[in-house]
Amino acid sequence: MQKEAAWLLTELKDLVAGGVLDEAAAARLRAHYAQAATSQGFGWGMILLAIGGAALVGLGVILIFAHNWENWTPEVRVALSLAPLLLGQLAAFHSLRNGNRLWSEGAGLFTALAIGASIALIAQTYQFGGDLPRFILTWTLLALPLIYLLDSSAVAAFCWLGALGWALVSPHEGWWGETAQDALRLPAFLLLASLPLPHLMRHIRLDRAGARVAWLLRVALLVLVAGLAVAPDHRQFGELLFVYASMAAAAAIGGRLYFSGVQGLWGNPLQGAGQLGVWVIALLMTVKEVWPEVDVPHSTLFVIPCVLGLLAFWLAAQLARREGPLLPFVLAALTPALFLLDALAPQQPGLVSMLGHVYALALAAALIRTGLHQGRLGLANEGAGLIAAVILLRFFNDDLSYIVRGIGFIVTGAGFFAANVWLRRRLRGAA
Amino acid sequence: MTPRLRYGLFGLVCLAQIAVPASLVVQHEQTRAAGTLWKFQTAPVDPNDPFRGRYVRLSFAAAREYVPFVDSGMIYIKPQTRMYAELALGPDGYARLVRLHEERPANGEYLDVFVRDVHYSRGEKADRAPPEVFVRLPFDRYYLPEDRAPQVEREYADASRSAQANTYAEVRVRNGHAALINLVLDGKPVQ
Repeated sequence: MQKEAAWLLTELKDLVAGGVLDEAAAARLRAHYAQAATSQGFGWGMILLAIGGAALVGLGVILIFAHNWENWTPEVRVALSLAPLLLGQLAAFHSLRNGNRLWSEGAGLFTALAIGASIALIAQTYQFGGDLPRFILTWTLLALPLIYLLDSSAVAAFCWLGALGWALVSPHEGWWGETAQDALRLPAFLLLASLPLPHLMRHIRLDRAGARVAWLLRVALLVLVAGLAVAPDHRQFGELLFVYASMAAAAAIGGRLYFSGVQGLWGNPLQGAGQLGVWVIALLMTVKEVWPEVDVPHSTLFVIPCVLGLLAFWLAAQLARREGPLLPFVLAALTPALFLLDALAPQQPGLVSMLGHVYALALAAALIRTGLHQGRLGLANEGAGLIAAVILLRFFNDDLSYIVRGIGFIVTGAGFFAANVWLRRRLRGAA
Repeated sequence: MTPRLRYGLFGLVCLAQIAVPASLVVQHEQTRAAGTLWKFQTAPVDPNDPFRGRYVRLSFAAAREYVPFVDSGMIYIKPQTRMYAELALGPDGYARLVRLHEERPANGEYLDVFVRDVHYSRGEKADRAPPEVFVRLPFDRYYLPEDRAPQVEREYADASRSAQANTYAEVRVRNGHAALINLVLDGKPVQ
């Protein structure tokens, strides 16, 4: 935002000279964006340096302590164990007083790391038994308030990673039946991962196009996708495709709806990750070997595809008003299509294979048509790429000779290039 | 949020962050000072379980024996449940876990433990013996300086395998909380 505002201010003179804006409008824009252009004065490079510096200093102090550890008495060890935490809290207090973003991020992360270091060092001094899940949970919960007190996104990312770490190390107890602890792990992970969400929502409201929001979304999505793979019981792996399908559809449509025009797919992680997910799942739906491994969710996981599947349709209805119904509703149809095909799979494998291809090709057609309609070659290329991927997958998947596969690859590749040239011409013509 | 409220909340958060490690220290110091001393005989560790950084992994004879569960109210005992094991001195001078309770016992010495496995007896409900529970003790590692740990790990493994070896951990216990004081290998404390 800051960079864009500064750029806009330099352009105003030319815009007035060229007659695009009158002087009064330029003055209003200057007044509106002047604060944003100069606010804080710190770029992301400085913030990342502060975060990295805080992490390195924290770890370095711990390593120096660790090197001389055995030479100190338990009392000195306790004092040294608590020292980094107190130092971090002092730095956090300083940042709370001056409201400096650089200090907030650096001091927040340092304090968050120091909490874990203090507990671990005291546990080592007093020979405590190991309970890693409890340690990570305590550490994460104690760091969590710093997100809101210091408005620290680095601590928010740390807490998300803490939630993922907790889900990773929590033991799965039931081999023959799901124990209460197994059943609670997924809701507990989702609850823990949702605690930094108000911070993300606040910054989406303040500046949805900013780098801070994009980075927070990247970490949150990564943690959610990985956490959903490890938090449920091992017998629920077959159900995850439904969860990921509903997540991908809701993310792809939500990203288009709320972050459209934000610095491409990298700047819009919600849409980028969602579209990639829909693309991959649509491809998987065309592979007949996938269906015996897929189970309809019958446990706590069932709630997720139902809620997110309905959310995807609601978001699609909102988006359809802006850019037409085709692509939003094809994306939203992913979760119900998965339920339908899974229900048919045991009796009608041939029909399921055909319907899987129908969905993938409908998605490709919707991507191409919307891309052409909106003058976006990237979107149209995604559709052409999906068709090429379906064709290539058939050549890998089916029992064909190398000659036939080779010819198939050449024809598909040539077709992809030809389609690309055609799309470019169509878009130029439309422009 | 007003600045005063923000500072107040920050102060409370700082206190909570310090209180967690500080409460560990206080509880442990109280147990070391006023707890009863018990000796827990060690058992060989799983040879496939490698040395883990700066600590020696411990295994105890008391945790390898099933403990009878005396409270009849609970039909199914879940793994990882916290329970309370009554302590008694065995004829060899080492600590034994003699009975397991769902609630904290009102008197006598006991230890907070976690359920690992349960064996239920067969037969009619009325005739059934109490379930035998396999527990995890709350002390399972002994931290050492990095250069000493591999040697102690080897000595521990050798001494724990020997039937005659006088190898045990000294643990002070107070109100269920345990503080591992020392590891004694073949009669000599590990320094």
